[in-house]
Amino acid sequence: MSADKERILASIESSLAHISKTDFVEVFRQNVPFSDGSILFKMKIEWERNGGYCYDPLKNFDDLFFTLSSHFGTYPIGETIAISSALKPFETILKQRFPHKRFFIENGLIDQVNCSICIATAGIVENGTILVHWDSTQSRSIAVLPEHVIYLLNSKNIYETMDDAFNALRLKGISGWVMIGGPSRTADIEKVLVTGVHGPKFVSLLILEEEFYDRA
Amino acid sequence: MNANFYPNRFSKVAKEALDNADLQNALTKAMHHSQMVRNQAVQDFSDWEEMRNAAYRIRKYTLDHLDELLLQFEENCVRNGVQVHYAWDAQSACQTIHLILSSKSAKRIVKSKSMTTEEIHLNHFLESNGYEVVETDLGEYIVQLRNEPPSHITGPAIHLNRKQIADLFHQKLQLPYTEDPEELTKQARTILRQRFLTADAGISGVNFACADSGKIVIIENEGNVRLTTSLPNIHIALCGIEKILAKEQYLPLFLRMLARSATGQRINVYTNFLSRPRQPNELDGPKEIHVILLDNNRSKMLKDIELRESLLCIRCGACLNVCPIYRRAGGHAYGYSYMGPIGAVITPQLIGLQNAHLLPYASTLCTACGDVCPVKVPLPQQLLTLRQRIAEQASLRPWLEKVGFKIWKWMFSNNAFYVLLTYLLGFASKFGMMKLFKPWSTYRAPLRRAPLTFRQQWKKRTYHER
Repeated sequence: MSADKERILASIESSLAHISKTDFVEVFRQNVPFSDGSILFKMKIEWERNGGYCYDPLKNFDDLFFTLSSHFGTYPIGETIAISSALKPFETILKQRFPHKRFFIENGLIDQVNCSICIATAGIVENGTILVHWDSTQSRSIAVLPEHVIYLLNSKNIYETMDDAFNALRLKGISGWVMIGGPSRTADIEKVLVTGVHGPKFVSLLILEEEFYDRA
Repeated sequence: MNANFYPNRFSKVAKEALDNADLQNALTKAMHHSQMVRNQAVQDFSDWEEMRNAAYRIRKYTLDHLDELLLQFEENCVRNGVQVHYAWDAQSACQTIHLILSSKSAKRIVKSKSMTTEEIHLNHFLESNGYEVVETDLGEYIVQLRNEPPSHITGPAIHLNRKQIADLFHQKLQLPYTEDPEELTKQARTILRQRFLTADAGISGVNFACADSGKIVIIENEGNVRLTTSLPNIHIALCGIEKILAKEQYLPLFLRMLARSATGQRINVYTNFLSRPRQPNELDGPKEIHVILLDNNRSKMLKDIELRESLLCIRCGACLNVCPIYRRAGGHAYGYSYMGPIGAVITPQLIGLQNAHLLPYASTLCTACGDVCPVKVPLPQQLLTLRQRIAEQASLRPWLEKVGFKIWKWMFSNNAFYVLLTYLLGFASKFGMMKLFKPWSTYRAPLRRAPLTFRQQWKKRTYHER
């Protein structure tokens, strides 16, 4: 509708003809409130404030498998677990460690799966959120479709504020992402908070120390 | 104007709302909660007022440079592989969406909550053209099943209680009766999940459109936007032209303010940053993304020096939650897609003052709306401006008011008649004639006659007392 484009732009131009235009506004750094403690501890606290669950930071493989074992025993996650293809190096080990579970590399169609494990690109302490992006190794829906999602976050990718995290993603050339702050929720019925509307009801965060992630 | 919009029936519908006990209970509960959580959330920031000032300046910059920013946004979208369309009015926007959908033989549509699509009455248009449209936000899904418009910008079903929703699901969807919100939500999830998986296209609104990157940002809590914009092959985003932000760097400020003002959250559960369609090596996502930039009178609103700042609005709904009129009358009384103080200001500008001349009077002018607005839209001043314009247009005032004021003017400019009138009114009130003013005192404190008129009191005073 190029006629509409011309018409709209002409109308705006005519409307702005007698307006004295304001100057460009510099980005204003706000006083973001923070709790005390190390950045990893703060990330855990803030994520849990949003209704998710976060384990203490994990240092090595043993920590991870021990934690996953405990996690699988606590939550009703079902037998089949979709994993992001970014986690392919772990697939064989996961299958060996948890023979009663069926792990498979996601293919973008995981509507029948009750649980998924995916990579979080960054974490933000300010509001206890994580950023998840999509590419050839991870689909858009893996972080939202299952009822139970486990996010793996590298400790070196945790930032204090949204400003820092968004800048870091842009520098990495990532153009699309979703910022996730806890389980899917609604209060549309009498303001009663209900989790697990369209997205996951349970969201768990595993923060991985640097050396561990590099091995993956 | 669309027949489904009825802003000039405000008084009648508001009165019906006041007599509806269920609605009053639902509104009282919801509004009290919303206001409380918002007030707590903004205390996170010691510099909230500075943030409001910055947000105001940034949004004002957008309005002042809208022509350049729209072109910059378009250029970046095209570079990202997103198709951009311009729509002069509601009809043009609906036709554009129809063309996109029909070219791909898309019939099953999932939609996420968007006030802009309500403004152009998109669902009605699509359904009358044979499309199957399902709202996927839980509140929107509920009001769609009831064939009603949403009653709040952020809580579409805020006017309903759990029993009404339970009855609705039981009768319309033949689901087992339950009043448990968790169970009701689960029922909706099961039905809507199937709709997502079989949808041909997804339609969403836009919260912010970044001119410098071509990114669109959509905020939500349920995950339905995430699925609407990820699973179908086509994603259409309808964006009012005023939603542009000059720089992506401004987003953190607005995300902090929007979530707190809207729902009292620190941040919404999902903030979607979308910039390009599915790439050849990606596992899922829409193959096409279309952004429709809607004018629908906004470019003309820009010209109005006194009212143009209503375009600063970021649709958080905070002004609704504090408005004493909205809190009693509810959203449907406003008869248009935008309600509350912001609705009373922008509706007359969008559809013409003659079609919504009652709305600027749907306010006590307590100024609470202006105080909570995160982008400092001067709502109270704008309501007064609109009232002034209505008063200046004789055709918009009821004949009784016009005649009444003429008589009043004549009486009050005639001293003898004024004295006689006050004497007669005082005399009449002694015989219970104040009952004639019962309609006035139905929802207000009753009128009481002063024992002495002002003139009598004045006469009695000594020189020093005067």
